[in-house]
Amino acid sequence: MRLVLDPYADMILADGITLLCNDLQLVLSWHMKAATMCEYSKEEFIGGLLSLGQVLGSLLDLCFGNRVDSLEKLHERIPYMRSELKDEQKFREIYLFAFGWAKEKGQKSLALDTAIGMWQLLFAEKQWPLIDHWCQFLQARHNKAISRDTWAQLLEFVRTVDPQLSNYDAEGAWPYLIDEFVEYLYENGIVQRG
Amino acid sequence: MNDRKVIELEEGWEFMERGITKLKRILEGLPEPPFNSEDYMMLYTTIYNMCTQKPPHDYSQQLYDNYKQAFVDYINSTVLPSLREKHDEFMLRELVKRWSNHKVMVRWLSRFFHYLDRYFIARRSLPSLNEVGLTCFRDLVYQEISGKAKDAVIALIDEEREVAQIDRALLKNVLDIYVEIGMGQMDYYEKDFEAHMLDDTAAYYSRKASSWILEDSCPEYMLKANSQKLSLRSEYMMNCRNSEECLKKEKDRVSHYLHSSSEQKLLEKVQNELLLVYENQLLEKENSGCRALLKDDKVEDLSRMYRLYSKVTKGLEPIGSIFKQHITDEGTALVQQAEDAAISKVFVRKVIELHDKFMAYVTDCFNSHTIFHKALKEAFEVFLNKGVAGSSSAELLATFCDNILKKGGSERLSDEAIEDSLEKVVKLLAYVSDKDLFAEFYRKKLSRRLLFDKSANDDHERSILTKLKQQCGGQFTSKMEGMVTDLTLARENQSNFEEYLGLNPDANPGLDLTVTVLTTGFWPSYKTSDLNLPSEMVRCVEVFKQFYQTKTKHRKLTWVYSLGSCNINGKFGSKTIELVVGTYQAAALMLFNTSDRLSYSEIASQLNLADEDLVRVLQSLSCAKYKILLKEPSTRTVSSTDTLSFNSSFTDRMRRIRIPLPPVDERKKVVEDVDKDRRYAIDASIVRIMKSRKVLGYQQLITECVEQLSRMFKPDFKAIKKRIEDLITRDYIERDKENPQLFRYLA
Repeated sequence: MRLVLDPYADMILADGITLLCNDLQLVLSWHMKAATMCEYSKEEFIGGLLSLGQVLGSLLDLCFGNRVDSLEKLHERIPYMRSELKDEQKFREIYLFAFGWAKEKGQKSLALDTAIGMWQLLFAEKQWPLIDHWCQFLQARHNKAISRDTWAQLLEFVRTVDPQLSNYDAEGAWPYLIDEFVEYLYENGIVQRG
Repeated sequence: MNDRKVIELEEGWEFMERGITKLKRILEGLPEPPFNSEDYMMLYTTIYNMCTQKPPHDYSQQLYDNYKQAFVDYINSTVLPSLREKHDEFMLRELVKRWSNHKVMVRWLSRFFHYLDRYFIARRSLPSLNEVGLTCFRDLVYQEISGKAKDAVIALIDEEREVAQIDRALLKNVLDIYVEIGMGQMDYYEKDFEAHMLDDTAAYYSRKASSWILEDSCPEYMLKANSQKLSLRSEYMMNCRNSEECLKKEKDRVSHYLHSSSEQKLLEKVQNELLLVYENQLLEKENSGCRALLKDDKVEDLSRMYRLYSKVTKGLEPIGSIFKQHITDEGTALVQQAEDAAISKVFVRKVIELHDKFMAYVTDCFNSHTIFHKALKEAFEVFLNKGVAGSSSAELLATFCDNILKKGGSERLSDEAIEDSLEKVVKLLAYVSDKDLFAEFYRKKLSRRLLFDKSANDDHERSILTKLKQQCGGQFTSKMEGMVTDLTLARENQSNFEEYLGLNPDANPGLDLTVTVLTTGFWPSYKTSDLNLPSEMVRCVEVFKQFYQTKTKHRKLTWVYSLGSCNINGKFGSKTIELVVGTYQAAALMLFNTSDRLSYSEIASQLNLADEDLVRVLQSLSCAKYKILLKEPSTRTVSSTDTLSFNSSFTDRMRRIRIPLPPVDERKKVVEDVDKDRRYAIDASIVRIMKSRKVLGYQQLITECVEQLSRMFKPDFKAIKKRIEDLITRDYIERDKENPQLFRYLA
């Protein structure tokens, strides 16, 4: 997919080329229900095509060389695809989908580097002020793969706990890693204890 | 009967009045012959006749009115004036006299007018004659005088509180009026007297208490709350006994003249003013408060404190919390002192003494009240779960047991003292949350006692296991019991082996071999190594294997050479000495039968032993007390570049010497093992809970898990959380999609 889009990146968007490619790729993949990053089976591809209709139609044209016409059509659809990331419910689906999509086949957890990349990508669209601290914390303290549960609960955390942590409940069922993160934020004075 | 002459009202009443006047004169004590039965008959008959005449000559109503008027007249003309001119105690005496006269008057007059009661009053449901008579006194006399009388009574009570002698009978009589005037109800007594008396009591003791609390030490104060003979007692003891004495006196007061229903209320007032209001101030007094009493072992004062406050609602709780704090402080001090190695050795003994001492307080001073049992328990739980000098109470308790149970341990005790000590250690264990850590240390030490024949007494070994089993359950001791049993079986097995050797001359191990066969699960985990045994020992192993196969086919024997011990003869230049060494050491020494000099690496490769073990072995043989091997260079530690040679000039005055291996610090491994076991235990517990509940909230899951595991250890909620997440990853449970606080069991 990257291969397809890369040559035209400058035309599509001036800022954040890779970023755009990645998140579009993710959104597309979600539409196509691709099980693993960068691998599309025929069924997945056709299924995605049906679901995405016009967009994929134009992409398909792109893949098969009919570049100039379809590129315009794709260009028209890009704002729509980006807006899907802004929609709360769709974002959630894409976010949860992203875990399975990004992890290595046969692994239960997501490698830390991949996870951090995905988070940076996803939370670039949906603003989360603590994203950089989260990634730094993971590299400094955790250095292990991320479980599906932790992945899913982080979104819950981002959605429900405000960045001042005023409504964070230390007695709650947050995954251990998130508890540690909160502790890290306090310890390093990033957030003041309420 | 119709011809009876009608008696007119005036005429009849005139006759009645003569009788009433005679009665009044008798009451006033004037000379008057007493009523005889004829007088009485005449008066009664007159009333009867006047009430049974045909209308309009039935004078019942008028007579009923006149009856009442007779009292009113008498009270107004005689009773009230005589009361009004008297005051205080004299007024009270007059009141008592007047009340008793009045009752006499009511009794007589109601007899004269009795016929009214029978028909007129009954038919019209009017107040009875007796009631009318008493009501008159209440409305006219009591209403006017009771306030004054109440003041006089209270003044007398206060006088008595200040040690004056008063006429208690008089007070009793006066207070009876308050009761009787209620005609069966206590309202008048309670409202017109008791409430005021209680207020006054509160005020009185509040004044007393506020001056005592400033002047006195706590025991003095409690003494005062008890009695008022301040000056007679030694300063120190006064306060405690005072509080008690005051209460006793007030109780006495009730029995002598107050109505019995006042007792509880009165005592509550006094307790409240003397004890509750000042409780914290009293208990916290710096040099004489509860803490000081505990510190100075003032058993008598503490008992008094308990007696006083046990009667006050919630009075014991502050004492309980001071008691708890005091024990916690003493225990924590012990923990701190244990940083010093010398004290660390006697730490457990000291804790036992502490426990004995405060348990005696609980039973002797505090009447075994649950508040104090709880305080004692909680205090011990606090300091026994702190780290002690880089170790833990769990380990120290296990070491203490080891010292008692092993041969030549540091504790030399009689059988009874041993039993007693074991009993107490087990009791202390109840306060320790890390029971699994104790168990692991205990097993480690037990294994050493059993395998190296260090156990002093089999009965004591079994006795402590029984005690532990009683307290912590069968699961707790099953492995330990298995170990003890294993050893008995191993002895049997050994004699079977020897029999087998006797019957099979072909199977000759070539040397005396004793094998202890153990059940893997019961014993601590031991490191096994692929040590290259000397050929002599290889034959032994083979022979034993053959024997063991005759007994059982399906069991796998794993040889733990690190636990073995060998007696070998060292042929030194001057004499032969028997060396008692471990199997590793023996294997290393045997290498020198074929070579005089060997480098470290040659030894390592021939023995196939890990560096860590080999260094310890060579260290014990070349750098310790007995230098069987000479090391080049002759430094104090072994390094991989060293070369060793047999020291043929070694000698010793003994014919047999034991060469121990330097001890390894087992603590880390024990803690790691326990940690690992805990992870399994938490996993198992979560799965058990979820299997039965299917869906459960996070908090409940944590609570149930802690509850299930508390018999063995107190799991940290973070640890449980980690295990929950691990079980999610392993698909045992899942988090509910909508509610992240909810977990589901996945079958």
